[in-house]
Amino acid sequence: MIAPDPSDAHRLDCDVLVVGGGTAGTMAALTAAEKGASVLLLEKAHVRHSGALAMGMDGVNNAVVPGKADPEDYVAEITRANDGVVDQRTVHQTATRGFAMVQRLERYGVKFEKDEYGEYDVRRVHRSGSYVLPMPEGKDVKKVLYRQLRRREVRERVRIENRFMPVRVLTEGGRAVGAAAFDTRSGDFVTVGAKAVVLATGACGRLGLPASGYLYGTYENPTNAGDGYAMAYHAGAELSGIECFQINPLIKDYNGPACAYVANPFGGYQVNGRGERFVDSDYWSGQMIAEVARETASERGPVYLKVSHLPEETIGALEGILHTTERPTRGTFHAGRGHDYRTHDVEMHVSEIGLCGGHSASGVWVDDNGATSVPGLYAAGDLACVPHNYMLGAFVFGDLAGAHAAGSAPHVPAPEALPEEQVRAAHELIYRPLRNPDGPPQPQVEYKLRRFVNDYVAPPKTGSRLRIALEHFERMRDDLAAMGAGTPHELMRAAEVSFIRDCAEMAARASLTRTESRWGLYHERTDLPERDDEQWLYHLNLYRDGDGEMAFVKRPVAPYLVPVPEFEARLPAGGPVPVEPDEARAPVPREPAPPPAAPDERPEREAPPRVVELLAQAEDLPSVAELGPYLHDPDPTVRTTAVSVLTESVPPGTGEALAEVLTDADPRPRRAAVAALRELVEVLDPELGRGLRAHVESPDAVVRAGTLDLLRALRAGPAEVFTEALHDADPRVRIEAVRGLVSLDRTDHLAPAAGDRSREVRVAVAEGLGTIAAGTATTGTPRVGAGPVGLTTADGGSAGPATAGTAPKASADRGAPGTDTTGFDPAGTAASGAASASTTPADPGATGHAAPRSSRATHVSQAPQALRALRALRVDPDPLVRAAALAAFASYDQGPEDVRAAGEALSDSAWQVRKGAARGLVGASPEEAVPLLERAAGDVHQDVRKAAVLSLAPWSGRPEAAAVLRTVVDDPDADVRAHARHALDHPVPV
Amino acid sequence: MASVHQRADVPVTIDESLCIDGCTLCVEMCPLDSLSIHPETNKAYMHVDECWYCGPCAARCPTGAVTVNMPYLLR
Repeated sequence: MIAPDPSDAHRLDCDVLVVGGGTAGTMAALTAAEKGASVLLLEKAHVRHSGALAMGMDGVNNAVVPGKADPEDYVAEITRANDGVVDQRTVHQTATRGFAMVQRLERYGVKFEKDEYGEYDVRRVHRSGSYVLPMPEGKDVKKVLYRQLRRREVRERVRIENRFMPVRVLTEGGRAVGAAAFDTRSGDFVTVGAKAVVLATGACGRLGLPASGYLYGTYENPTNAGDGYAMAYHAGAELSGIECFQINPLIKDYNGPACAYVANPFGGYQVNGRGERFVDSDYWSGQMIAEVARETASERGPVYLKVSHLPEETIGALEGILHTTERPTRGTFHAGRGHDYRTHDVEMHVSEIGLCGGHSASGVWVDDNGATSVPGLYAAGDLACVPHNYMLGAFVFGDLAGAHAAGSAPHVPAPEALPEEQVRAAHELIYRPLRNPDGPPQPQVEYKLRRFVNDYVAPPKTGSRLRIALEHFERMRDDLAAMGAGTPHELMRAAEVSFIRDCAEMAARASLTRTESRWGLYHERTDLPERDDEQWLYHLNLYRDGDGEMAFVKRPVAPYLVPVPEFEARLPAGGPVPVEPDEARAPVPREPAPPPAAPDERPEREAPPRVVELLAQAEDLPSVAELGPYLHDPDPTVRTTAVSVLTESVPPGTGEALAEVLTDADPRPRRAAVAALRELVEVLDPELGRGLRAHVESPDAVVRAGTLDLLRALRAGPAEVFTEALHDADPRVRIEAVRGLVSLDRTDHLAPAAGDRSREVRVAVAEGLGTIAAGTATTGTPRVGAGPVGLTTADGGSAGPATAGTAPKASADRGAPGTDTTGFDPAGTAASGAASASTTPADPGATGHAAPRSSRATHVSQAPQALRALRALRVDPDPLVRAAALAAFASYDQGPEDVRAAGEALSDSAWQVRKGAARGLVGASPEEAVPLLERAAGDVHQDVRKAAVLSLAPWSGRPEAAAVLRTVVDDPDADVRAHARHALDHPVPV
Repeated sequence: MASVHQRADVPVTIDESLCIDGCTLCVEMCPLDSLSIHPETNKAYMHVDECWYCGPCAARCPTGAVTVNMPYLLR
């Protein structure tokens, strides 16, 4: 191709330019449009599958759900996790606005994990704070957002340009007025005039080189090359905490998350080569990564995610999530090596470095509206320095930035002529490689650059290595200038290498400037190993000064909104402190622009068949009537594709149309329709439930199971439908029936299923009986926040299938044996049934219908039945059933016979049974339980000891319980000792 | 500078017998823009070895023509 002339730029204009159509960017665009702005959204990939959520997300890491967690605690937690260097005003936004965002996303159709009662199923994954909200169907997040962007009223205001890549923000008089970009397919040069610019370009994922050596095998989406970091820097904005890198413990070589957050509620956990838990940190932090790195390198390494101890059904359910969401090729990777979760624990390692405000703190400096230090320029999402902000924080700050940018637009004049010199410089940056057709290609230049990052910038860091890094990065300016390219695609990659080089230089200089160690592995300086709060309890910000040099300033941490005593007293007084530059260097040379080129043309194609015809209509949001012929096409592939098109756009009548497909003669469209209905359950009309009931008679078990799940979620199934289904031939269906009865608190209908022939169903019954009792609280214990140490800990059900809270949908959809049970939850993460009580019964006439949650009186009157069933289940031939039954006793008032049985179970040969018994004893009187728990606390299996500690915690104020807890404060298992110490530090008054 | 052509084992493969003429869904969806329609065969193919093994190309293909393998270096 030949470069276009700078004066031939295709000019676009808008109120708000959003750069990046991922998490923060789509939300910024939606909100800005809702506030009346005209929005241009530029995305270098395609919005439907771009950014960190390209293939969805399996959960929210930091949801502060009322009743489950407290915003102040969250802010304090993040302040500690980030060693005090936090602008709490920003984190506070995420803490206080996150829940409304969860609800907004739910209105859009995103599904979050809920228990049988429709309450958010928040998990405690860390030892403190319950912030993890699973998204079992999280693969659809981008689909839902893209659907919102294409709503007619939004489309009038948001213009989307896919495959456009901006390279520079344009400024006039210090204010952002637009951007220079190019079309990465045609090569056209594009300029944008805007009243405000929101950068939402994600992390710099292509900074370090993965150990595999594959340039794109990064933890972050490799399209995220640090574009926004470079653009903000060159526009004059301040960046902060760049030396606080992103580093993660990942599946070795695959380099994706092993998802301890996902595996943990199922009973998986990280161990060293000896099978011991070793992580002492309470929250995800650089300190935790340092522990992983040390353990990996020690004689106890390597480190594994341990899952092979879990039963078949739990592993199946875990695969159902890990192999479909966020990084769905995990299964392909393991299979390629002949590994299987049943036989192989997952080897982990510490990833390459990256920059990411959302995971650590390295980002563009923003205020509590996402505004940067350059007027008119905003940053949101992983790009912005709001520590540990993750996906939910990206949504929150996308919303804030979009609102603020749109709000400012009426007061800002629309830019006319764009700054010519800046446009020329951007043009030069894009098209320069065309002049060097024989210059070194991007893969070689990028490989070398990123290898130097690994060699000299990755921690542990030293001043001398960082200086060598800078020499290489300076020298490589020449390599970049000589780099050659011949196609628009290669120009895109070449421009990205310039972003990576800028980020590498920022990373090295910031690391050199902060002369201390902080944030565990993120900024470990072996030459300066101590944390120096006196000099460095500051933000370290960098910016491009008037001479084009990288300059640094120390900004004092703003007074805390939430007190964190260990740092507060040491917060520095006074204003910003300038830092002497480490080394001076010449500005980047600029060369004149090359002559223009003629645009390429694409060849015409043949007339498309039906699928192509259908897909061509998909972008225009076809109605159900327009899709009708395709839904009834003779070719099942066309019908299945039509179902997929329906779920992309969800026109009115979608629910009914999908329900009709449930009777399709071919399993493919039928199962696609089941999956689609489940995916859309939050946006379906509850009235649809009535029409669905007939499908519980479907000859297809997947349809029957899916229908029961929908009836439960829509609260549209009378108890009789579920009770009848307890006799279904397929255990997946029976498990859905159990869940339905649990949601209606029907102990009376549920108890007979204790004699089911499937172990999974019996486990589900045992857990369900525990869930119902926990919900209605026979002992008068409130369901929420019951225990000081959190009986609600996610560890709860590692006894087996017991824990597969997120499994149900996955298992029935994919035909895996059902692990379909509720999260084991003795003290009740499940909150009170208030919400469900307000649901209107869809069919008030039906007897035994779902109505408001049954009263405590009903439950108490049914308790003898439940206890009879549990007593039968605790002597079940299957150890996992025994374990679940024993654990369910935690929610019941126990008689002496039950305590005796628990005591005997503590000698069972299966550790899962011993663990269940230890957990169940929390329902007994402390006089009877503590001596038994003392035995359990000395068990050979760490999960039994952990269960004992968790059961003892509510009695930590009693001398006899405290004495037992003191025996395990130095336990070899990190979880056991941490929970014991926490319980002793927070004695519960007797 | 000399130019060499190297063979590479690429992660995304297309079953041309299943790939539909005129369909560009996988090409539109790839975040790295690594897929293209071959001008001679009119079928999709991987034109650069740039892959995050993320999978929308395979997941969204109406006929199951697309397979995502691990990049060779990770296998």
